[in-house]
Amino acid sequence: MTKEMQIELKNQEELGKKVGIKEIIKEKYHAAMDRYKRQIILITVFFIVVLIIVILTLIPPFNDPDKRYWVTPDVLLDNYAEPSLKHLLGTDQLGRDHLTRLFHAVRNSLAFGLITGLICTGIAVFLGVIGPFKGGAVDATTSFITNIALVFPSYAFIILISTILQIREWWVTMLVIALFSWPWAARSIRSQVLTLKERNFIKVSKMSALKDMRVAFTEVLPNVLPYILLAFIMFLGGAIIAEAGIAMIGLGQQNWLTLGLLLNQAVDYGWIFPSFSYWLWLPPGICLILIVLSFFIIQSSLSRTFEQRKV
Amino acid sequence: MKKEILKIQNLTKKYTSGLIRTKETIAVENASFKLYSGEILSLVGESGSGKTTIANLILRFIQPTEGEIFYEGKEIHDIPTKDYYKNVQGIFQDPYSSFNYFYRIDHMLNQVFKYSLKGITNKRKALESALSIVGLNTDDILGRFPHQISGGQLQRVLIARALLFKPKLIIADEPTSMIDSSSRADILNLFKELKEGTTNTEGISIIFISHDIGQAQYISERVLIMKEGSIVEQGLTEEVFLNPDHPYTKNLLACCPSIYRKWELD
Amino acid sequence: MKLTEMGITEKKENKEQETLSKSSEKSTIKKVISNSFLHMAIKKAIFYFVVFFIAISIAFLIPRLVPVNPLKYIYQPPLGTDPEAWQEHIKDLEEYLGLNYPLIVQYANFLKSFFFEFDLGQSMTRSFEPVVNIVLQALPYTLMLVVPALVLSFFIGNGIGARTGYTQSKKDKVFYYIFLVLQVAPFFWMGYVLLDIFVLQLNWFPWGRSVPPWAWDWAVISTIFDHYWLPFIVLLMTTIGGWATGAHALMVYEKAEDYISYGRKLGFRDNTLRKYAYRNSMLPQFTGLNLRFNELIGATMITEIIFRFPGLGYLMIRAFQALDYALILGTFIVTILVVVIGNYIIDMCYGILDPRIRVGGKGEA
Repeated sequence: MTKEMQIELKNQEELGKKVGIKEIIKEKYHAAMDRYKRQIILITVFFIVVLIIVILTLIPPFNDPDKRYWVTPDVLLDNYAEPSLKHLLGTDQLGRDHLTRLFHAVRNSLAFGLITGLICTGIAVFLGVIGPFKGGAVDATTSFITNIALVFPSYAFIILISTILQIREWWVTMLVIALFSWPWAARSIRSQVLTLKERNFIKVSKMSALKDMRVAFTEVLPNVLPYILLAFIMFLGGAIIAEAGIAMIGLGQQNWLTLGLLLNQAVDYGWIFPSFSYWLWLPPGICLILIVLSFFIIQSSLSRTFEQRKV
Repeated sequence: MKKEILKIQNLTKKYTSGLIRTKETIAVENASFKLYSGEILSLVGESGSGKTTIANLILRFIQPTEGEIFYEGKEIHDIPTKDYYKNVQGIFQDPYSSFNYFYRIDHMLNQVFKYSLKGITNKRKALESALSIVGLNTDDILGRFPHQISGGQLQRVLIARALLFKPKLIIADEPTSMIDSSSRADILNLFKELKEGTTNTEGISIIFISHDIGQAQYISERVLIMKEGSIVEQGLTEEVFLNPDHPYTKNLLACCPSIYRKWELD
Repeated sequence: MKLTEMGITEKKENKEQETLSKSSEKSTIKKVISNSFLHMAIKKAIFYFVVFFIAISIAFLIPRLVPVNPLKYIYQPPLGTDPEAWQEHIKDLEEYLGLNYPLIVQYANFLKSFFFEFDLGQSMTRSFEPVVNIVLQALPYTLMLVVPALVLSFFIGNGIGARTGYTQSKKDKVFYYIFLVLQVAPFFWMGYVLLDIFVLQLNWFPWGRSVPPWAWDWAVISTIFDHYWLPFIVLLMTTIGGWATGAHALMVYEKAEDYISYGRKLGFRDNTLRKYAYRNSMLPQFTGLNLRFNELIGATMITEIIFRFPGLGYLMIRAFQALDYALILGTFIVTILVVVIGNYIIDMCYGILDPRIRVGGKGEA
């Protein structure tokens, strides 16, 4: 290896990453801590709580949501037991510990929201970014589809599809929700992309002979990331609520133990009427409120932060 | 005789809005001019006179409604994108919006090597020479984010980026209007140097777009005066500014404060 | 580029206006209003018609793609009938309902009878009663939930939200958090909470599915309203929460604007400033009206199902479950009509409020 080649190699390395990754992380961490202290604490607390719940669902005595409890083994089922020290949230009609089931439901609901949110965000980003960059007919079609979808009576279609498809699989509910909840995000991402498109750095990239789609995904998309993140969080909360709503009227999926399924059972097995088992149907709703509330607060505080950054 | 590098013939750009009842807006109307190699041509006019539209048309960001643009005798839309931008580059008014704030400055410079100039082996050296022409130190620029350096420096980085291509024509769209006045003179002088050619570069033709008559007079040999989308007067700088024909040019010059003339107070 | 456009249009318009203003000033203004407003009204009408058409086409297609013959499912043969004879009977029924044709012909027939005769076919499950009658009976129940909930929640929610956003006192903060919880709380679950408290524990409202059809009779109306309050309150609460939090956030931004502090320094009264801020923050809320309206329709349908309130939602889910083609389409068409007409009205209101559309001119392009 000649000296020149060595220098050349070194140069290329320097051009690629001038500063070590460690330093970048350190720098970013300090900057972030100064600015977004409250938000970071909020998000951390939320994730720790979620993590605790997920861990609890993996270890005994909370790892088996289907385990039945008996007063006298195989004879008398310990069902509809009121909250006590043994069962903090009582038991349901089959003598299963409700707290265990609640933990599992929270975990599964979050997983459900996560996947559905990802699908929604994917659709919204794709339609929001591709239109302004392809222009012409593509843009006209995508924005027309978005505009129509915005005023589409989506709930009616969600109910229609979930009733008529007799399959009560988790992916059906997921797809039905994803199919009808993306439009507003697609529109807001599109308007962001449209304003960014007028910026000169797009012209500069074009003068470096970048193709349109590459400009869209390497130059524009990173600048829209905050909005995408916000949309994703909104979708997450929305999907969890929508799943619960569909499930509660008896049209939801049946194979994941989610908060929706718990509420569905509340209706089907008469937890409200005639058995008045408040300990069975109040907690899932409160969990639902807490989850969506925390997503809402995270979302609004993040959006405030992003807006401050823009100024 | 100087070589003709850019020829613009009957260039018109109209914008139509509305689907059913269309409304037409004329941005540029029937503009024709030529640019010879090794000269600086100024496009002067008030804001809204179609100067930037002409720049965008030459840089192929928008399509003309009518008329042609020839680069070295070829219609520009027939030249492959990559080849065209190796010869013609642009610099824009707002240096702050010319950079992607998500990335470091390196990103934009790397782009040039990655997509356009694939053949260059010694990138660092090419960069160093380009940055030294505009009077910047490589180590001060690389690894920084755009918000960490000043507008004047950003504009110079942008010029250096254009120089990486070793272009024959640079379109400078009001390059000095948004940077502090101390850097302005430097950048104007830089353009003059680029026109003459330095040890590393050949002479570059420049279309200098400005609303500032003083700058145009300082920098250019020939000047075009634009008003409401059409070219009202063109010619050598001295001729146009000393003996203006068109009433608009006279008005424009009368508005310009002059250091040799006394203000007449009533 | 934009400057060029603006500059030129401005000049042209000035010329036009100059020439026009000579004749009479008042008539020009009127003309400008009607022209650009009419333009928008027609454009929107076409758009919503397309939406309507696509929606009913999907609603036509989806149930028919399910590989089940609903007639066989609904009409089980009585004991001791000859299966072949019964088969014939089903075939006759199919012919009677026009289900024996290929899908595309059925579609054409449906469009023809709907657009020219406003005939929605006959219900299979309800002894071939015309669907139009069934649906028109259910429509008022849905409307009496949706319209008051939308209008009341808009004014109450925005009023409270703007107040809490402007003053930001401690008491208002508590209010804000209450509305925040109301907004994120799942309305269907809240429905059950109210049901438990007010119907099962306190016995204030009746429980059951016996809501009589509408009649101009005091006894009937009071029974209907006994069933009406709970679903209405659920809908009102969930929509008020959304408006209030939105208005709160907008007001907080608006209060931080320069013109407020400038006005304060000029010595304007606080009430005047609040009025300015309120007006400025309301326009974005109006743009949200469409979305909220659509959400509210969805919520209404689910609430109807939960409370067994005999509106369109309740009718729809029963039609779905029986795969009653004509009834599904009928409920769907009316629901979509409500959505589309509602959205159209909202858009028109927005057009009247927004000076750029009302007066027309530069902003349009």
